Amino acid sequence: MYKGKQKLQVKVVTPRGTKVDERADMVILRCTTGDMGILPGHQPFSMLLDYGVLRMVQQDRERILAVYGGIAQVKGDQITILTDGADWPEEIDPVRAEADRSAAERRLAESGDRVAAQQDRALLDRARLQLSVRADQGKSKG
Amino acid sequence: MPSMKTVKRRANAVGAMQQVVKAMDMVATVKLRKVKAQHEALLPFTRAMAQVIRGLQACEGAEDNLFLRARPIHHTAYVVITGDRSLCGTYNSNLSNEALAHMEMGRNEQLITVGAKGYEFFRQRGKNLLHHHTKSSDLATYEDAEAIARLLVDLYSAGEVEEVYLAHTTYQSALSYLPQVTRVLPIGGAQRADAQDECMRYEPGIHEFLTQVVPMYLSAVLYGAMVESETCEQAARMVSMSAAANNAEEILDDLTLAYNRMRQAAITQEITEIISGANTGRSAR
Repeated sequence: MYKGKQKLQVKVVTPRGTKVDERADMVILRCTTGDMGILPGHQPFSMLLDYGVLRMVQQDRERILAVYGGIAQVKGDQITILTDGADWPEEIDPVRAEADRSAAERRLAESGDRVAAQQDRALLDRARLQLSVRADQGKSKG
Repeated sequence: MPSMKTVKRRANAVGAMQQVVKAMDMVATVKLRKVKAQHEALLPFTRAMAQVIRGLQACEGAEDNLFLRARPIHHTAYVVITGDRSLCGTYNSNLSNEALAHMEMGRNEQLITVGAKGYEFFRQRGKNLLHHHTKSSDLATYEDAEAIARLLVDLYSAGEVEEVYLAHTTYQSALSYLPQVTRVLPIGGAQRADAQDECMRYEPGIHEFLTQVVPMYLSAVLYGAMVESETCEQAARMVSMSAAANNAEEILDDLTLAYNRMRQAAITQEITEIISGANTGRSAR
């Protein structure tokens, strides 16, 4: 594992405020092209994010954050993630996520409106990610 | 001359009105605080987003992207942001008039309205209303902005409109707000010449990247405009409601004074009558 002195400054910015502004040894992102690990000193780089978890490795612990799409930019030792939304696992309400999922699935099955369908698909992706993050957390605890 | 009873009744009515007006002032103050917090939370996002867009514009091959390239203009979409309610001074009419003046400069307009006041204004004038967005709650949410951004991207990529303008109100100070019409699509202001920072690598590719970033950028711009306009609306409402409360206070003072004068006059008259009655009684004896 990488044990250098350099650290990454990780910023997760959403329209509702800055979610994360911390240092980390490594981050692993879920990009549209697959998972990607970023270490300090990476070349300048921009990528599209998929709905997925962001893993931040800090010394001996790892924190995860559910990120709902967006983009990431690496510049020097800074990594900035711009996303519509992000949640820590403990902030996710599984009951609400389940309700969102079934509502979105039902609407997608019957609706014909293109713009509304896009919205429902985003909601569905978000709910699915939330549920999987919660499920993983339950496993690691149990 | 009005009777004492009428004056009393008017004073009561004005008093009741003043209470309502004061309550509205208070509600506006609370909402103003909320939207200001929303605006502040958004700032880091819009700043970072503007930087990303600038970076993209500096790249070779970006200038022929659909969202950055100017096309011959046949149809123009307008997003008009007004409030749902009145009693906020000239806030709604200023914005609607500004947008109307902009459209009359020979544009073939398609309207998307946010807020009932703007919708009514343009419906009465027989404008081409494409869509009216009803906010899901009292204050604008990011989801509202996202829904409109999706619609705009849809229209723009389908070639139904070639440019998009945003009519919104900018906050100058607690007492001055400026209605403005700004172009949001195509994204202009590219400065390829003095872009010194070289193009960074984009994964999977600059065009795919733009396809995802532009809706986010638009949502952020729209949300920012909605929040800022709401700040103006609430500030305007606060100002006009506190002015109304002051006016009510003045009227109430005048009415109280008038009532007291009349009461005094009535008492004086009664005393005079009693005395003169007593005098005639005595002289008659």
